[in-house]
Amino acid sequence: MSGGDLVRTTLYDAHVERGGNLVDFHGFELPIWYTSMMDEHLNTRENAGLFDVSHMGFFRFSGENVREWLDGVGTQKASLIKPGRCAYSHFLDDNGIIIDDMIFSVASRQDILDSGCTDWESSSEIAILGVPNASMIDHMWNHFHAHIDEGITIENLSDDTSILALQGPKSPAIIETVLGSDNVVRHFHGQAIVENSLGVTGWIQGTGYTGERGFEIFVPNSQVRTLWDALLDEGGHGICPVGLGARDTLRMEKGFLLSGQDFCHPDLGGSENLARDSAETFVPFGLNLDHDFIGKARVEATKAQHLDGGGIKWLGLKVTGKGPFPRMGHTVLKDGVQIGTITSGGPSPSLGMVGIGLAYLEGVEVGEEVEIAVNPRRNLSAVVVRPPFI
Amino acid sequence: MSDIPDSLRYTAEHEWIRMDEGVAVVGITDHAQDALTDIVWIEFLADEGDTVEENGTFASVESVKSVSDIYVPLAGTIVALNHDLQDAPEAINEDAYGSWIAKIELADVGAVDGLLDAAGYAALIGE
Repeated sequence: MSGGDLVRTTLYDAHVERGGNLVDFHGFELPIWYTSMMDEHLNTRENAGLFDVSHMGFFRFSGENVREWLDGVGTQKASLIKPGRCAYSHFLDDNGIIIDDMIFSVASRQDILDSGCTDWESSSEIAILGVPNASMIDHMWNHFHAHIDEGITIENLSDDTSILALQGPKSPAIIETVLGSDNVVRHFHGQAIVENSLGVTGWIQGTGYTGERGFEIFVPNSQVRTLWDALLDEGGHGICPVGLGARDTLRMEKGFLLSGQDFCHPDLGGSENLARDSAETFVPFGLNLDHDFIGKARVEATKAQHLDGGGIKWLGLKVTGKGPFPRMGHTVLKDGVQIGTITSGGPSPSLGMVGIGLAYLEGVEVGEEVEIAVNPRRNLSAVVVRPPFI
Repeated sequence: MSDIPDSLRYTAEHEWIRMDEGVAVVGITDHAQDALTDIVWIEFLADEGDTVEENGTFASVESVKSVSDIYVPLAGTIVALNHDLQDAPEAINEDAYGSWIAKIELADVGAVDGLLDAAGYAALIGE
């Protein structure tokens, strides 16, 4: 978005009423925190936190062989994912550079009908429900259509769908209290929301961006306020609303990539440091080389470099002393020579505010000591680690 | 509403200044600490004894998500930095006006009159 009015999610009034500190986030007016990022972070790890992630997109892909079609455009082998299961994938350009990442679930035709879509026009037996990143909705729409096969349909349900993420160890108990035990889906499973006392319909899946047990719930905009209030007011178990600030520190501790921050396509203004392939991100899921997909050659080349003990890997840095924190753009040095640049960093609330960072590094192994140049007067000592940090 | 004591002077960059026998004692305002929320580090970018230019930066304050520079309101010489804040940066959240960051011997004490008073700062931040 450029220069236009900020978009408010359906829950805007609810955020104001609950004391949310609202900021411009990729053109959406969303809460960065309610009480404190640190408290919200720790409460999500210990109890549960509720996030409004309605700015994220929601695409429904359908048609005969829709999974086989997705095989060809994504790094994940979607045809292996059965109805009722979720998976993660990258989408690359012809040269192997990541355009975006996405969580998707595979649904049966009956699942779609049960999720409240009784007038679905498609005759497809399978649908894929995908969640593109907020700022990437238009780009991914265009990218998918540039590689569309005959018979594949993509519906953009983003504007009509609100998305809540309930995250944390107490999430299953909260879902049981508010939506009933039949809606407590397992980790990386998904289903149509089963009939419940709130009358909420839609889709629920056992996914999230915090590394905790949790759920992402997709409902029509008209129902989201009911669900939001019920979860916070009747869910119990220490649930609190959480802003986007803690969402970022929570995902950083788990080493989850943030689109636009840890990778960004050059056509979208990304720097050279952020033009990466899936193997370089070194994320241990979402990549299956047992099928052909757009951009595969570069991924294979990077994999081969790794096997030879070289190549670039996105790794963690854990600061060993007290001081300022690693931040995006800081240079990482080994023996005085630059070996990478920080893409994400800051204090880790779950580690007692130890400084953590993530960077594409070359020529260094896990366990080695490096330095991070945080300002002209100071280099921090840090150890290279494989994420997650906790 | 944030706390804005009448006895202090202020800058548009949210510093407070208390004059103490020609020395400007500098910190960040209650409004600033509230906006930053959890303050997790103070980094000094100058040393005691350094001379500093008006509107130069001498320190930065880090919250969970951000790093903000702290500016020198008036030219002078740094006579003291509050290193205790590095052991307890949260003190600024707890008591912004009791947590000084630097003491600066001003080159021109009279220049203080050009800074905002409490009413001017309150107007600036919309209170």
